[in-house]
Amino acid sequence: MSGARIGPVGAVLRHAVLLGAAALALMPFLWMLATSLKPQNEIFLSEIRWWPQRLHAAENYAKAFERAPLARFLLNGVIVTGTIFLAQIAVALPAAYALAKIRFLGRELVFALVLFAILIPPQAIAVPLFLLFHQLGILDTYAALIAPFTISVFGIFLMRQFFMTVPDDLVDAARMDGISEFGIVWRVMLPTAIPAVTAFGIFSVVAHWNDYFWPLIAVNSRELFTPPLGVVAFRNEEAGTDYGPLMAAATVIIAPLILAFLIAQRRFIEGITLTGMK
Amino acid sequence: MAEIALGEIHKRFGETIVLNGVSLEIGEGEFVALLGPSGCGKSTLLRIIAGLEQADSGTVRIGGRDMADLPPAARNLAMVFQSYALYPHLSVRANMMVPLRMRDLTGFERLPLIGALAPGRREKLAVMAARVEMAAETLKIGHLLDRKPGQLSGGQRQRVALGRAMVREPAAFLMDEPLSNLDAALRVHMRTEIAELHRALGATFVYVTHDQVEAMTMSSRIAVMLDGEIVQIGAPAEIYEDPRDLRVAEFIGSPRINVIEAVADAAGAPVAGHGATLGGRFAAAPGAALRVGIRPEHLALAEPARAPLAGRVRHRENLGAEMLLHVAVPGIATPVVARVAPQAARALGPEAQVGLVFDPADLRVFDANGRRVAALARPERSRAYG
Ligand SMILES: Nc1ncnc2c1ncn2[C@@H]1O[C@H](COP(=O)(O)OP(=O)(O)OP(=O)(O)O)[C@@H](O)[C@H]1O
Ligand SMILES: [Mg+2]
Repeated sequence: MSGARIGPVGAVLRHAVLLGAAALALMPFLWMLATSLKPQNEIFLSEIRWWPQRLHAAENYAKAFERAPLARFLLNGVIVTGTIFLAQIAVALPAAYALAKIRFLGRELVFALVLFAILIPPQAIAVPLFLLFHQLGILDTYAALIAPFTISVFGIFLMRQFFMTVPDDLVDAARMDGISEFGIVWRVMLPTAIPAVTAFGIFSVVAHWNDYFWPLIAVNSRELFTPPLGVVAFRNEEAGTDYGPLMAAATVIIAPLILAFLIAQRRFIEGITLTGMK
Repeated sequence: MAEIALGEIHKRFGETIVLNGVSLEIGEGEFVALLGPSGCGKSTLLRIIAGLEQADSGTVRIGGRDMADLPPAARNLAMVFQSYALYPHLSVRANMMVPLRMRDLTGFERLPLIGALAPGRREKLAVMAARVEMAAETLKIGHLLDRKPGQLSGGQRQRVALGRAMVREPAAFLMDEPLSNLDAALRVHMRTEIAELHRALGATFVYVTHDQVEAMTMSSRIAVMLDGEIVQIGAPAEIYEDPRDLRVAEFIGSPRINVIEAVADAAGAPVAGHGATLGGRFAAAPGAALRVGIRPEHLALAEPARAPLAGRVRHRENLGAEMLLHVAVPGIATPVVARVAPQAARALGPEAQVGLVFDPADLRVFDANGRRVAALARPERSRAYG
């Protein structure tokens, strides 16, 4: 990384600004964490208190797990987001490879359609999808939660853009070595595209872990609730104004995302560079 | 090892005709350079031989077998790319193993984890590993086997690419400007190494380059390609001495051959624009427009008054062992370049008036379309006016 040299004052200033912005973004999150540690009587104080005088964490978290099947919600979240991500990769990589590296009639048209499909907001097709799934009789199943997202046009677009930067020679070398076209996708393109796949993975997992809109429409049974549905249901039915356990539940539900991001971030930065090719 | 025969290959991309009826016979164990300027279709031709590209029409035969519809891997060729094209996520060893694994292991044996259960897989892998070690030994990259391509220098990557090509002992090696990403010194070095490799392996090499020095120094024959056609094919000396087309004469040789516009006189001798008869007799009708080529090294300094070409020195380039003089001859559009000994030229002041003489036997004469015009009576080896 190269950058313009700045003096110590500039550096301090820059960090102050960055820290300020970060603090602003983190504030609600930290408040959630703090609330999840407080007893009920300390939550609605007029003063700002970041650390409770009486730590109530164990009680809050125990209550959260006790009153709602949080583990079940988390498991549902993992099943749904994991399957969606794997399906998206299984579709997007071969599609992107074809769009980037194989010459065929109508390729540009297909790519234009992909771009067009990116413009369609998911809300716009929610009702038709709902009706379709009703006809198929798969409402209120895992399939209903997963199926609409298995093809990610954004994923296809992103991976296609990345594959465009992979030298054609590498693909040709693989063909000379006798690797099949699908083999090239999984054994040559995928390993070189790890940074892009990671970026897409973060996007996809966050979007579908936090999705509230579609699961709300697609499922009714409590056993199929994804984490956001779970938190809301928990508030409505159990907690009322009992915010300590509610925030504890919210924290539990966000935690896997944070963990996943921290792990992915390292891979993200390491990446596999294409330097071996020039 | 096998011979390669191309018959009337045509290829176009949309409206552009890239290959226009290319026929070429490459003998077993031969080293043929495809030489031509950028964009003349060399890579396309090589890719058609490899099977990476389909010709619109024409035949590709390797070892006597028609290759139509055969996928690249089934042709048993190896290709070395300009960008090396190593798998960036695999170690050098694994890179070199890929072609062997793909050829010698079954689909089941290549599976991760359960593939290890296949009987005989370990023996096969051991054979392959030995092959890789041997190739690495030959190329002196044994100590790099566990590195990733990203941790290698350009020259080392080039060797790995050669190694990956070597391990499966292909019928022929196809190389597309393999040295053009290297610096000048390394290029010279690798030139010798590739030539030695060719000698050691005895395999057929097809080597694409736009660098005439590479083609001249390495190959047994050069095929000069221009605008999608092979204009001339022959031994390096033949291409240099006896170009059949003005474009070949201009493309080969550095500095470029001097080209002087002339008109044939009644005897078939070319008369330059400034009125001097250049000597020799050629099969041209009286009054026909000619373009007379003379290589810089065939010009020598002489008294201006008695020389057919005379003018002022515009520019001198001292190359150490020799000196290039750019002489502006009145009546000739571009300066005439002469390659002379530095001692002879040192005495000359700037803007000196010099004469240039040559042996008419060294003239290469072309007609207005650039086709070679044959010399009639072989002129005796004597300096014109000399
Ligand atoms: N896939 C393609 N689509 C359209 N035109 C192409 C394609 N590949 C090559 N061409 C064109 O065909 C011509 C020949 O290309 P080719 O790559 O064979 O040239 P080359 O002789 O190898 O040149 P260089 O020395 O620059 O590598 C060029 O004009 C190029 O623009
Ligand atoms: Mg090329």
